[in-house]
Amino acid sequence: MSEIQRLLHDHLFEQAPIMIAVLDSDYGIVEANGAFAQVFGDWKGRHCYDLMKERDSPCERCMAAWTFEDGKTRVCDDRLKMGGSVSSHFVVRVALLMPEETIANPYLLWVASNVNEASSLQRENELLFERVPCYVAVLDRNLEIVRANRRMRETFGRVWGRPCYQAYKHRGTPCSPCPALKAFEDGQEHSATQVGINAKGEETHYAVTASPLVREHGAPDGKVSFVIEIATDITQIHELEREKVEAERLAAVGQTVAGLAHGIKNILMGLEGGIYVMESGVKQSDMARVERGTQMLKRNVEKISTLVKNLLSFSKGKVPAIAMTDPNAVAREVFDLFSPLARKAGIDMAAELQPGIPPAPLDAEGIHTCLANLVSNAIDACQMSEKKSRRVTLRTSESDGVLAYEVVDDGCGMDYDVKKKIFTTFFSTKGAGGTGLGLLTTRKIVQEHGGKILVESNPGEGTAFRILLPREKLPGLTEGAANGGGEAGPA
Amino acid sequence: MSSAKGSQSRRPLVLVVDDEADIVEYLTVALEDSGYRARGETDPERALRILREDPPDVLLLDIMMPGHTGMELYRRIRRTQEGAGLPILFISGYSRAEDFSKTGLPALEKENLAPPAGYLEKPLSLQELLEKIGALVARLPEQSHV
Repeated sequence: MSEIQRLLHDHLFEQAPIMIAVLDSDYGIVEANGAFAQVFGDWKGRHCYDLMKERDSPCERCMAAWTFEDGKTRVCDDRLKMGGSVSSHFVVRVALLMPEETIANPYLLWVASNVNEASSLQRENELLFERVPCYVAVLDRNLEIVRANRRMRETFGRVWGRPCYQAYKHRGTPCSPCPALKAFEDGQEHSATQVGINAKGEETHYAVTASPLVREHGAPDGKVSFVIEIATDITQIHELEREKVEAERLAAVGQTVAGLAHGIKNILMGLEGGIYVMESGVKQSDMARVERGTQMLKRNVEKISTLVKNLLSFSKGKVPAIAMTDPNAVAREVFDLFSPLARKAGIDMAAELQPGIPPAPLDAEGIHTCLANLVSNAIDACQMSEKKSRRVTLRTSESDGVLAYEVVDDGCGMDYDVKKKIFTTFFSTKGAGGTGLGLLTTRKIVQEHGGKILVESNPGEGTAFRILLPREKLPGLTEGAANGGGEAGPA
Repeated sequence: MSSAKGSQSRRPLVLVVDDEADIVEYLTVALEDSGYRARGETDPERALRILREDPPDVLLLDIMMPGHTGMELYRRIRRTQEGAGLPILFISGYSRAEDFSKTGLPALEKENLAPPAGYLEKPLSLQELLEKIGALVARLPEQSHV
């Protein structure tokens, strides 16, 4: 026996992290190691059945007895008392220990390891993976699903072995952006909100987080080999949000039919007035009066037509056409459209467009409508002000991933009562000149872009409207939508 | 309005205040056609000036002008010497019940301000308007009208 073998022989028994005991043919414990004593307590003069089973006699189905009989090595799992009243789960191996000179008097080598902790953890993990009310899937570097939990299988059908984009989205190529691809690339966690198609062909909205699955040794090249995707189904929340927006819209419509009627009554009176003034001019052969009456009729017919157009575009719930758009190009178009009008009214109009803002997925026509509404309001506000020099500024900027449009005027401003009403009803301060739909429509379009609109205003000082569009919340591109926002060239 | 002195000055003056220029035009033409002197104004401040300089016999006032200025104007008029007892007819695009709740009309009494002389809903009937104005003018002291 070499020196190393001798040292191993001497120390292994004491220091092995498994429980080792030697039993005689009466099941008396004749020797045991430190790990055994630590787990089962003082063993001297005890039998295996009284120490580990709290019994007065050997067990009925005793593996040790069989091994003593046939000499075969056996492995089984068993619950054993660990001292005190605690019991635990062990894997036990028994084998005959036969010193050459004591064949007639064999001993049994009893070796056990506690598997309770490991097996229950594994069971818990399994249960968690399978039953957690989320979609859980493990993807390999080809984005193929190598494991999927029950919820995932129930919702998306047989997904195992298929690429995720095909399984959840019926797509031929990966989504953009893809949180799993990002996690593979940088080893970080990434989240996204996505819309998939379930096994029944219905839209399923989910918020997904992709985390790299780090194994002890990882891939040989140090790259992430697997990503685990955990997703929460937000279809119902999404539906509720949509219903809430719809309910708010309906409430706004319902509450303000009276407001609309007020506007219509004014127009109707303008029409009646036009007829009256014209007839009065005819009776008195006053051609100037006839002309005034005709103008009144024309003006009020125009007002009705504007009102109806706005009302239709608001109620239709037009689906926005999202295309990669130069944010500045839309602003420039609106500026070019309104600056001659402003100049005519003696108002300075300026465009301050931050250069180099990258294209963004926007509904160019919708954003154009928003900016046109705000600029037109700003010009009106300046016209209502008695200041000598009046100014409307249209700004664009982007910082921290938030795209911003700003329309600032130094016109008449708004008091608290007016401010709190501007977005909620068919509210207008312009008499029959305004439909009260401009800001309502603007807010709707901004919300469809995942953004918000803020207003700051002081009576007599002016107003600033800000449209804030966080890029991460911008909608996905509409299939087949043409590129928008003056991509063809400078406006 | 020096040319309006003489026989014209004895015709009752009706002031029409509404933010809608077309409505002002319509009502002033119709009132003039019916033998009244009529002036119209879309701006509340200028209306107050007219009230001081050329006090009308009857005022037609749109109470739902933008930003509640109609009701504000009513209060300011009632607090002036010329306007305290002036017959004022409200005109509005809202129904009467809505106006009462929106403008806080009942609060006038607490403020010791005289109530309006009448109420007309848009689109108003010209005949009804002329009847109401006629009735108000008939109650005016003799020297201010023929």
